[in-house]
Amino acid sequence: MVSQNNHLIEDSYAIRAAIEKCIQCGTCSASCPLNNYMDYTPRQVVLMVREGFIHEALKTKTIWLCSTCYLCAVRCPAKINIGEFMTALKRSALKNGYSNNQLYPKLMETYAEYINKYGRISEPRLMIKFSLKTSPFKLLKMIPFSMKLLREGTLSFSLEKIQNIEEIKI
Amino acid sequence: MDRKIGVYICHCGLNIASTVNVQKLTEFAQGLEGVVIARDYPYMCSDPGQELIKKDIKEYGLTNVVVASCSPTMHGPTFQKVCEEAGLNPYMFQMVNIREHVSWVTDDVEKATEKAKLLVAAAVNRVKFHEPLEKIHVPLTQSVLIVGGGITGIEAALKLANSGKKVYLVEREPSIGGRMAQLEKTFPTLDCASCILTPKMVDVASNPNITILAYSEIKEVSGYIGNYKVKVVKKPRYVDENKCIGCGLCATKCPSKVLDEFNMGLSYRKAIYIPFPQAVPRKYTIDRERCLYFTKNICRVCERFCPTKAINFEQKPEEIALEVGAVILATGYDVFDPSVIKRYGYGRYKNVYTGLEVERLTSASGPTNGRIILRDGRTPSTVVIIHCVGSRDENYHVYCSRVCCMYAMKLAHLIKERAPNSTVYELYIDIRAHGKGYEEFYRRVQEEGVIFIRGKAAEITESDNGKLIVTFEDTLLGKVQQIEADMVVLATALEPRKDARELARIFNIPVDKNGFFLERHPKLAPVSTVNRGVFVAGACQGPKDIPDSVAQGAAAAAEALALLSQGVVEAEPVIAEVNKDLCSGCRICISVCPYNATVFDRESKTASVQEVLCQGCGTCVASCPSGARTLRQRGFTDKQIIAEIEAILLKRFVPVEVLITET
Amino acid sequence: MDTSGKALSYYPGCSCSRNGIGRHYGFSSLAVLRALGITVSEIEDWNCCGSNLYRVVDEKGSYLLGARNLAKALEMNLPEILILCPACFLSMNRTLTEILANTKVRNEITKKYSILGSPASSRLRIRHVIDFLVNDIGEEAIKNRVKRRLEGLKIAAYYGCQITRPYSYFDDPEFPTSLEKIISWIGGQPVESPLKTKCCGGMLMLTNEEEVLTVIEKIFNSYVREGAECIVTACPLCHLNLEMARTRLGKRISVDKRLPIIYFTQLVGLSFGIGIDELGISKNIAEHLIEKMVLTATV
Ligand SMILES: Cc1cc2nc3c(=O)[nH]c(=O)nc-3n(C[C@H](O)[C@H](O)[C@H](O)COP(=O)(O)OP(=O)(O)OC[C@H]3O[C@@H](n4cnc5c(N)ncnc54)[C@H](O)[C@@H]3O)c2cc1C
Ligand code: SF4
Repeated sequence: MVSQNNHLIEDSYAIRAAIEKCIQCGTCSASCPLNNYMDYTPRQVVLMVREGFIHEALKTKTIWLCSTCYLCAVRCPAKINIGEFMTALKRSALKNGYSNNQLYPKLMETYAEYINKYGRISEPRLMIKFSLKTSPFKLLKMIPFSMKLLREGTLSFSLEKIQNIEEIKI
Repeated sequence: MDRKIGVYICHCGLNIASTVNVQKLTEFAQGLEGVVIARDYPYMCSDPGQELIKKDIKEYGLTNVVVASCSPTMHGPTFQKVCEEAGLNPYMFQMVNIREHVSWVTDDVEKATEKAKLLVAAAVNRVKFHEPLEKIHVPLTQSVLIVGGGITGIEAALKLANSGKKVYLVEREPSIGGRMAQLEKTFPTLDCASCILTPKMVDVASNPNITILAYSEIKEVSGYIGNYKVKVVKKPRYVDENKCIGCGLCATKCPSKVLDEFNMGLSYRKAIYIPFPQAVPRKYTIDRERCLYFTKNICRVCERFCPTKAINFEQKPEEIALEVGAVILATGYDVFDPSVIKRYGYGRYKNVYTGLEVERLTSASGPTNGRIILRDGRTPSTVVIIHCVGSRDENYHVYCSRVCCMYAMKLAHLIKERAPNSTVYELYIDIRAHGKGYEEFYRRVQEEGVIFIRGKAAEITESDNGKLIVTFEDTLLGKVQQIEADMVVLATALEPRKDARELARIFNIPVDKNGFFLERHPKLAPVSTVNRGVFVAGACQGPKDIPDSVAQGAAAAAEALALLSQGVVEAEPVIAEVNKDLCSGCRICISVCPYNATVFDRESKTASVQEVLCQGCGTCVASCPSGARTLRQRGFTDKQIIAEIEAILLKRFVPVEVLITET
Repeated sequence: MDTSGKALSYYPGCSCSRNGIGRHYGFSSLAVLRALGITVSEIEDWNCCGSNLYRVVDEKGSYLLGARNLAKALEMNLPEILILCPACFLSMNRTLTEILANTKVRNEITKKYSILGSPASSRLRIRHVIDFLVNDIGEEAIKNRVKRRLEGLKIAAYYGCQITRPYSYFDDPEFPTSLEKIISWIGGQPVESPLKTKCCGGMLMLTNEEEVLTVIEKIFNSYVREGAECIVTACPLCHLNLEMARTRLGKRISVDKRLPIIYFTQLVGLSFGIGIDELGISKNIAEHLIEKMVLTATV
C-alpha cells in the first residue's frame, strides 16, 4: 500500500520514528486531553501515514487539535515524540494547502508576520489582528475580559522591534 | 620457508556470494605468494566442503589452511577439526570473516570484494608464521555448584544427582522453591503449582548426592574450568539446623509481626518464621531486623519454648569452601516495580495490584485463603488486567517478558472462578500465546467470558466513590474508552535480579544489554557461556515460563555432565609464554593480569604463566618492558600480527620476515 | 547550596517582558530573586523564541530564533539562562538539544552563529525559575526569607504542560513536586490534583474555544473538589486561559469568584513581604491572601 502521495509529507525524524517504531498501542490517543474532539485518534493518524494515506492524514481535524502538550510523547512506549509528529504534519499540510481548520493556519500566519517584521510578538495585537482576519465579531466578546486586564495593568499594545531583523533570517 | 597454503572461499549460500564476487576473490587468492590451491564452494562447513579441504591437505601436502567464511566463533573449531583429521596441526589454520565483516555490512559489490581481498591477503600473510601448538589438558573435579534453588536449579540438581554427581545447591532464601512456590496454578494446564513442585523439593532434600546450602550466598570464586574454588557464606538463622524439627511452636509464641514478603506484603508473619508451609529445608529462621531480642534486647520467648533447644542467638556467619568442576547459575528473575509508572497509581491506589500479588490472593495458602478480597475488604465486580506493564516499553524494558500474557489470562480465569459474578477485562497490545496448548488456553479463557480489548491503558484515576477509572483506546474500534473498575491488575515485567551484574562479575561471564546472563550463542549454545565451565539456565538468562525453565535446567545439567564425563578438559594453547632466560623478574606482568594467571617463580626469579588460568588476553605481553622475545603470546606473535597489518596497509603481499626483527 | 554571587542571564520572552501579558510573572520573579540576593542580566535585544507556532511555518527558522538568543547569552559569558515562560523554556531547550545532537541543524545554525559551534556552547544551560529556586536556592534560604507564613492555606499548583515536558529534566514529566515543595516551604498546604500537568489548551483557545473550555472545566473542578483556596500558575498562557475560562464558563463551574489565581512567584513574594506594586498583584487579591497569613517577622 505504498502511497503516491509521499511527497506531500516531509522526511523528518519525528515522522520517520512514528512510521518505523509505533506499536499501535493507543497510549497517545487515550492520553490526549482533546481526543474526544478529534475525527481520528492520534494512533490512527500515525497508522494513516504509515500505510500511505497521506492525503487523508493531512485532512484530519486531529492534527490541528494537537496543542503540543507532549503528554503522549512522555508516555509513548516507543518513545515517539508525537507532539513533534503532529507539528510536522501541520507543516506539511500548510505547505501543500491542506486545511480543514481555517483558523489555525491563519493564526500561524499572523504569528509569523509579527516575528518576521519585529522579531517579537505582542499577544494582544496578535489576537486583534487574528480576529480581524477571521471573525471580527469575536472582538466584541473579548471587550469585557480586556477591560479586566486593562484594570489589572496587564494589557499593553506596545511592541519593541529587535535591532537587526536580518539576524533571524536564514 | 617453504609454505604450501590452501585458501577456501565460502559463499554461505547467498549470504556472502550476493555481495562479494567470490570468483574474483578466488582468482586473487590463487595468485598470492605461497598459495598452492584456492577454491570457492557454496557451503564450506558442509560435509562435502570439509572433505574438499581434507583431500587437498593430503593431495597437495598443505602446510597451512585459510578459510574465508563466517565468524570464527561460529565455525573456527569446525575447520580446525578438519585440519586435525587430515593430519595438520589445527593451529596452522587461519579464518577470515567475510560475512559479518564484509558482506553483511557492505552494499557495494566492488567495495565488498576489495575488502575481502585485503582480508584474505592478510590471513595468507599471517598464516605463514603460524607454528604448531598443542592443546593443554586439565583434570576435572567431579562435582557441580548450582546457584539458585528455583524450579530450574531444582531440575538441574536432580538430574545431576541422579546420574551420580555431587551437587551443592546454594539458595539465598531460607527455603528452595523460587517463584514457582508463590504461584497458585500454572498455565496452560492449570495444575496446582505446589502439587507439582513440592515432590521435587522433597526429592532434593532426600537425595544423598545433593547438599542444600539454603540461606547462603556466593562470596568469591577462583580457579578455572574443572577446578573452581568457591567460598559460600551461610547466613546465621540463629536456629541450629541440626536440632530444629520444624514444629513451629516458636512462631506461634513470637510476639513480633512482620509484613510477609512471600505473600507480597499482603499478610503478616512472625520474626521467627518459615516462608511457607512446604519449605525445604523445614528449618526456622530469625529475622534479625525484627526480632525483639536483637532490636531491643528483650523477649527470647522462642528460646524458652523450643523443645529441642535449637535457638542460638550467638550464631555467626559461616564460611564454607567448595571445590567444583562446573557451575550452573539459575538465579531467576525479579518482578518489575510498577510504582515508577506513576500514572498507574500502584502504591497510591490501594486496589491496584501486581500479578504476583494476585497470585498470592488466589492461593489457597495465601493471605485470604484463595478468596478474592480487596485491600478494602470488598469483592470486586469489575476487574481490569493491564498487559505489558514495564515490558515492550522503551522507557522501561524493551523486551517482551514472555509469560505475562499467559499469566494474565490465568489470573483472569482464577478471578472468574473465585468471584463468578465479576466481569474481567484484559487490555492487551498483542497476545503472545506461543507455547504448546497456549493458544487453546487463550480460547478457553475467552469462552469463559473474559473480555479482551486491544489497547494499552494510558492512565488510572480514582473517582469520588473510590472506583478506579481506566482510560485507554480500544484500538480496534478507534475509540477512547473508560472502564470503572474495582480492581486493576498490572501484568508486570520480569527483569534481571538486582544483583545479577555482581554475580556475573564473580563468575566472570557477561550480561546482555538488558542485564540478563549472556549465553554463548542464542540458538546453538543457549545454556553455555563464554566461561566454559559456567552454565546458565532458566529465567536468569531471559524471561521464561516453567516448561522452558525446566528444559533449560535439564539442558544445563546435561552440559555439565558432558563436561565432567570427559575426565580431563582441553584448554586452548593460545596463551602467553615467558622466555625464562630473558625475563628480568620485574613483575609488571603479574600486576596487570586480570585473571591472576601470571605468578612469580621464586626459584628462578622470573615470571611464569599458569597455563590453565591464562585466557590469552595479551595484557601482560603488551606490558613487558623487555619486549616480545621475553613475553610472547602464542598465536598472536608480533610477527603474525605485523604480517597481517602490513598486508592490509601496504598491500605488500610478500613475506615480511625481513622487515620484522623481534627485539 | 551557596548561590551568593551566582550570575545568570535572563531571557524574559515576549510574554514575561514589560510589554507582555505575563509581565507580572516577570516582575514578581525578579523581585523574589532580588530578595534572595540573586541578580540576573537580561539578554540584550533578545527576540521571540518562536514557541511551537513558528515551527509550523518554518522549522529551520524556528531554530534560528532560539539560536540567536543562545548566542547572545554566550557572548555575555552567562551560559546559564533563566527562563520563566514554559513555552520559551521548551523551545529554547529544544533548540539547544537539536544544536547539540542533530548535525544537520547544527551545521545550518553555526553558519550564522559560529559561537554555538565552539566548545563554549557545551556550557549552555536552560534553567526554569522553579528548577532554580528548588534545586539551587533550596529550602533553607527560602524558609529564612519568609516574613508571612501561609499557615496551612490550601494552595493548588497548576504547572500546565510544557514546564516538565518533553525536554525538561528537573522533575517528573507528569507528577512533578517542585512547586509543592516551594508552597510548603512558605507554609502553605499543597493540594494535589491528577490534572496538574494537563494541558490548558494553549493557543487553541483562539481557534477551538469550546473544546478548550471543556478541558479547563475539568481542571477547575478537580481543584475545587480538593478544596483549593488559591491556584498558583507558572505560565502566562495558562494564567490567561484560566482567567478567561473562568469568565466564559460562568455558572458551569462552581469556582468562588474570589478564588485567587496568581503566579506562584507572586505568592512567594507576598510571603517574603515584598510590596504589592513590585509584585504586580491587585490590592484586593493581596489583601484577601495576606488576611490568611501569619506575620513571622516585621515586613
Ligand atoms: C505472576 C506470575 C505468574 C506466573 N505464572 C506462571 C505459570 O502459571 N506457568 C508458568 O509456566 N510460568 C509462570 N510464571 C513464570 C515462572 O515464575 C518462572 O518461569 C519460573 O519461576 C522460573 O524459575 P527459575 O528457577 O528460573 O527462577 P526463580 O523462580 O526466580 O528461582 C530462582 C531462585 O534463585 C534464588 N537466587 C536468586 N539470586 C540468588 C543468589 N545470588 N544466590 C543464591 N540464590 C539466588 C532465588 O531466591 C530463587 O529461589 C509466572 C511468573 C509470574 C511473575
Ligand atoms: S503511544 Fe506511541 S506506540 Fe502507542 S500508538 Fe501512540 S505513537 Fe504508537
